[in-house]
Amino acid sequence: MLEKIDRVFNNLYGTKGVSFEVAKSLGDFSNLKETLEKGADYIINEVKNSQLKGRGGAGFPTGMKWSFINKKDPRPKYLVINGDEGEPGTCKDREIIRHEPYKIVEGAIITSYAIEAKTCYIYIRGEFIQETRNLQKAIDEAYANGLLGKNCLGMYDLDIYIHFGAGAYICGEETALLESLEGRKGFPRIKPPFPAVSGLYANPTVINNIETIAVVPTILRRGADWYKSMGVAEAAGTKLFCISGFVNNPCVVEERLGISFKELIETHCGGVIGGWDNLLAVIPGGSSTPIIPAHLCERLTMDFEGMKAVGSSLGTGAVIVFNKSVEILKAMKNIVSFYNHESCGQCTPCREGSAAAVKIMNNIINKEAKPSDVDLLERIMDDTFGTTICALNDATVFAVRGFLKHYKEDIKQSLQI
Amino acid sequence: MPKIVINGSEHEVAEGLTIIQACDSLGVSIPRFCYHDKLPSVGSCRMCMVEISGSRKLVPSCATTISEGMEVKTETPEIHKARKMVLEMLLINHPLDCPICDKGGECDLQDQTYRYGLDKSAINVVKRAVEEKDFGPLITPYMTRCIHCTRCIRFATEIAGIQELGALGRGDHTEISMYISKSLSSELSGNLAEVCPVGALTNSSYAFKARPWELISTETIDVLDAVGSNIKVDATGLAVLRIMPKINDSINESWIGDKSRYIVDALRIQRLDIPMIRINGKLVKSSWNEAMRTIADKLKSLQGSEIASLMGDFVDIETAFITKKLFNALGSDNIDCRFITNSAENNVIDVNFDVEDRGSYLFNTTIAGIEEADSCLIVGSNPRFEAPILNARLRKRYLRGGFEMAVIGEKYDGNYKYDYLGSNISLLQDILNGKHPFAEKLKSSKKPMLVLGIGAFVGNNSSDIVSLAKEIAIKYNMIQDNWNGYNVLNTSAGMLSSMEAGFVSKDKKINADSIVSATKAKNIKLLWLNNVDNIDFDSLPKDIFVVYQGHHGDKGAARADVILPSNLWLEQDGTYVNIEGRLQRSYQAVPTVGESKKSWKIIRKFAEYVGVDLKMETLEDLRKQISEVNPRFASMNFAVAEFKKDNLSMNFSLNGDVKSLITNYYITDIISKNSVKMAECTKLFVKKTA
Amino acid sequence: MSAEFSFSEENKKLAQDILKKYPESKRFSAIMPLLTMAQNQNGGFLTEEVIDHVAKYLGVATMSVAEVANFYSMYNLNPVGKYLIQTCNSVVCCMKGSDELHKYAKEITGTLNSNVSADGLFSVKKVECLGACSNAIAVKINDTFVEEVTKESLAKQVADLKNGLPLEEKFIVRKSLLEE
Repeated sequence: MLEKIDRVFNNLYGTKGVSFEVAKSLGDFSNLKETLEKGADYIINEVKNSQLKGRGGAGFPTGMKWSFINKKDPRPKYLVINGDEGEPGTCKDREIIRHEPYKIVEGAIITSYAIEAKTCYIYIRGEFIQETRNLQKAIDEAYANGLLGKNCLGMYDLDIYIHFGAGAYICGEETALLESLEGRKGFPRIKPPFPAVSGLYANPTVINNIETIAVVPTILRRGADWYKSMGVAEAAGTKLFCISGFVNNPCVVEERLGISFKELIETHCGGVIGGWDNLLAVIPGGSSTPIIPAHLCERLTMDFEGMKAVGSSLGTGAVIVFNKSVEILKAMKNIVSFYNHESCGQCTPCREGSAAAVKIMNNIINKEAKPSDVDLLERIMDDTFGTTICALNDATVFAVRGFLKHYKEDIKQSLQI
Repeated sequence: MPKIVINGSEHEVAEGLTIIQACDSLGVSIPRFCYHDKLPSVGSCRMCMVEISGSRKLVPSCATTISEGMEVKTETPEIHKARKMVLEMLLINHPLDCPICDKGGECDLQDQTYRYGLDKSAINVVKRAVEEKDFGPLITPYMTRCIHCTRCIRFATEIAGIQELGALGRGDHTEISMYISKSLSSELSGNLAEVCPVGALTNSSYAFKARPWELISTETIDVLDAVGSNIKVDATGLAVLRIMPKINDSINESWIGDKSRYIVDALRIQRLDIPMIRINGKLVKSSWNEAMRTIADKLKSLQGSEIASLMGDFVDIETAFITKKLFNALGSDNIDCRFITNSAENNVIDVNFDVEDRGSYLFNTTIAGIEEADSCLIVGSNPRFEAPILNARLRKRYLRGGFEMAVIGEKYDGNYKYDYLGSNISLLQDILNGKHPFAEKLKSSKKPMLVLGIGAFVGNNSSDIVSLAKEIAIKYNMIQDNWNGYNVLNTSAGMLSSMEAGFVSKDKKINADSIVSATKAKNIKLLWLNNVDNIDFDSLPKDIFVVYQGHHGDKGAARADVILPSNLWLEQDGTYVNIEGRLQRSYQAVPTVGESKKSWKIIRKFAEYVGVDLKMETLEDLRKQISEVNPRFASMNFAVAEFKKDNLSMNFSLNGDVKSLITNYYITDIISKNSVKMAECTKLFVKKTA
Repeated sequence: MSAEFSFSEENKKLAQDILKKYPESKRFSAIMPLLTMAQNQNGGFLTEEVIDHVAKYLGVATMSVAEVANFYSMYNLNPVGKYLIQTCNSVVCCMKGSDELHKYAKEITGTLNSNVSADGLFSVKKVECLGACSNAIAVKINDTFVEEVTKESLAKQVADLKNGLPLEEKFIVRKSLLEE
């Protein structure tokens, strides 16, 4: 369990109030100048050493991502912060935006300094309009305190702007987000070129998740070694877990990576509704991560390896707990429909495949399908896997495969006449 | 040049190509839907995926650039499985209405499915419904067949320059649609029928007419403007069913203008199909023998100097040449072809090009050469209406950036941005004197170009405009060793071809205008018109004997004393020259209509009636004779010529405006005048600009 | 096209501020914020006129704006009531009964067979994950989150709105049990 003293997010619930003064009293900005004075290389190295991995779901090493920016390139560089949180189950960035916005601002300053960006856009999903008031306030106060604008601390120029989405999960994909920020439909771009070479307005761009950025200042305050010391070997540091579904106290909580699933929900969430034995299954990292049935949850640990061992992944840290009141088929159908609804429509396999999958799921739910339709669904998933521009279709495939891995025979059984 | 390995064999290919481009250039076929070689690639259909070294996943060959040493495989079990999957996915919502689809038999989806697809899919779900759409009179959409390749959007946006098509919605609910406006307002919109890989966007004039395998195709050229677009004419029996572009990257790339495509409905309307003679003021049907004898009889009483001939639209080199030879043999040098036939005006408008000075009336930069230019001054032209294909090339160059454009004359929406300088002639002088800011841009250009529209050659000030333009061309270094930036944009293939045949009088004072005036003074008593309908027939004295040789009945035929029905260019072989001076053959695609005859043969036959031996029996004989006087014709080569720099007038009257001539792209001649489609387009689109 | 639309004076100023966020040559970037602003001004939905106005204001093709407006689900292309009740349809809320809640919302607002209730007050719409999964069932009314919604709480909320009470912003913050 994470000691209070080791928390990155020491005001996650806003209990201490949300203001520049409170943030400063909790340590934010306390060593900003010193950090920057150590230089961009130091910052990047320290973040590399901390083994911080992107908290948006893909888990790409953050320091390495920053190092892809070619400083000799004369084009303007951009930092884009991804707050298009929308993967079902995920509600962690929301807490950071409304209660810990100063960490985002400080992280943005440090990151922009490290990659020599003079402009930073924070892309927030359009629904979070009220949550974002605190973030805007934090930005305004940073301007007022000389931390944003021209020649701040005598060291850097930086403007931060908030850009709202308008309801498209796909814009959480980094290149779709850039397209959206450029005023177009959220169509993921073909890579290469990668954003570090050609990102926003075809300029070098780093895109990081809000949580990733918000963690950066604390790492640089307390050191990479401290951060690394928490968590487990290949999953360093702490992580926000958002636990939802059928637990007694669903909540967002910061914990060490590597904490056991059982401990996580027992300590923070008051356990499964109806008791541990009433646990049906868990989707451990947002709707795209494969479902894990209860019998595999006993020893489950919340880290990359632990998840791999049960055929799932950590994703965004969104833990969706199902107890036995949940109908698996209904959940599966809901998730398939979600990915179909959010398919941008560019690539044939995703556009057509996900639509067909929804229709087949409907037939299954309505008992109008044949048992072989379940195999057909699986074949569509297998055939379309890895054939599209972005990973949205693969997310669908992961989710569906997860369900089929554990419940295929049950589903087929339900279709026998 | 990077070396790559494709399916085991090594090739050297040009730098910067994508895999699909490299494979296309080597003849290795890769199936595709969204990729089109003339459009930006989006890599979204996933049909063209191939295997490359160093990638776990298949990559879209249209969006992957080759690199040194890359190993590409295009036919592996995994690729075939992926293709099968894409086709299966595309067919989930495709209506499979091939039996009633116009694309059937030449449909990419159909062909690829035969080649790579499944014969039967287990995915049997309710198909998507799409609301019926209306894209205007030229393109008929059947959007249930749409496979979302977005080629049409990219064509409209990039090539045609209209942002009227878009993909509205998201995911499988995306629909290709228009927004607010209801008709595609481009002169190139017909090309969507070929751009679409399936039967979603179809050629409205070809709807339910035929199956492609029933068609007899002829590759020939278009003469409705003077660009010389290469076309494929598809016909069954007597009728031309459709006209499509034939790829020629030097001229029209993969496109043709809508007029060139949609006049199919006018090819057999108002046709002159039987010889006629005027008896007691009325035109009556006749025989070839009688018609020719009637003219021959008339000629008996006339001196050579009392007869004249004018060549109009669509006349090929052969016909102009033989007509000239006949008239010379009859002692007449009253011939001309250098006047505007495709304007709304009723009287002869001379343009007086100097036939000896080829560089002074051709598009010397060449159409493909536009892509090398870095600045362009357009004077008295609306290229979008006068030559939409050339305009597309200007747009293509513009999109690449670093292309400074300016217009003097009438403002137009060219689908690119240009500096509108105004219409006064004095602007040309200002540019010449370096007083105008645009002069700086010309000065700093490496390859500047200037386009004189046919409008610059019309009116009292035309010689000033032309002289100033030539001076500007000289001063701003438009004529270099390997670059000629001086261009005239002619609109009549007939005029250019007749000029190539030398269909002008040796006497520089004789031109179309003087000939028509001479009829009024009764010095000329017989006028032989070939497809000429724009002279002021009302003021023509009643006793002037008019022979009208042509294919469509209009003002000329109505005034004629004898009508000699000749073939349309699609019904005979011929040779035309385009704005660049490029010689191209046209070929017979359909049989003649009624008793009409090949134009050159009419003259050849008539010569017998007046006892002239033209010394030719066949078209080859005729062509040989032309080759003897015109070496270009012999080799079918074209070389760009510089204009002659002498005798430029230097006393300019700097009053008046530069105008452009064509205000309605859709109706410019007797063929398009008879087209219902073109009339519909005129009604829809032309009022806006007027 | 029917009714004219143009930005209010206040929004004209706001539009200028929005444009300042992006490089001068990147006016496209302002499409989404301007559409949102225009939608708010236009009573919560976009029409052809509004979309056309945004396009003309930015000097971009109407189709470019229309594509954006048709892609993002927060742009409403049909009239909506004064209060747009958006029930979260994603897996957590759905498992907790949002389907039924959605139907119930339609019933009590009188929108079972129409997009807008007869009094013009309500529209009910299913939306994908609202991102408040720890507070399921999540509902958004206009810009305001209403969390841990039950039939009873929703009925009260709707009744309050009908009675002209203002919409209250009130987040429910769920804390870890270890948090004092």
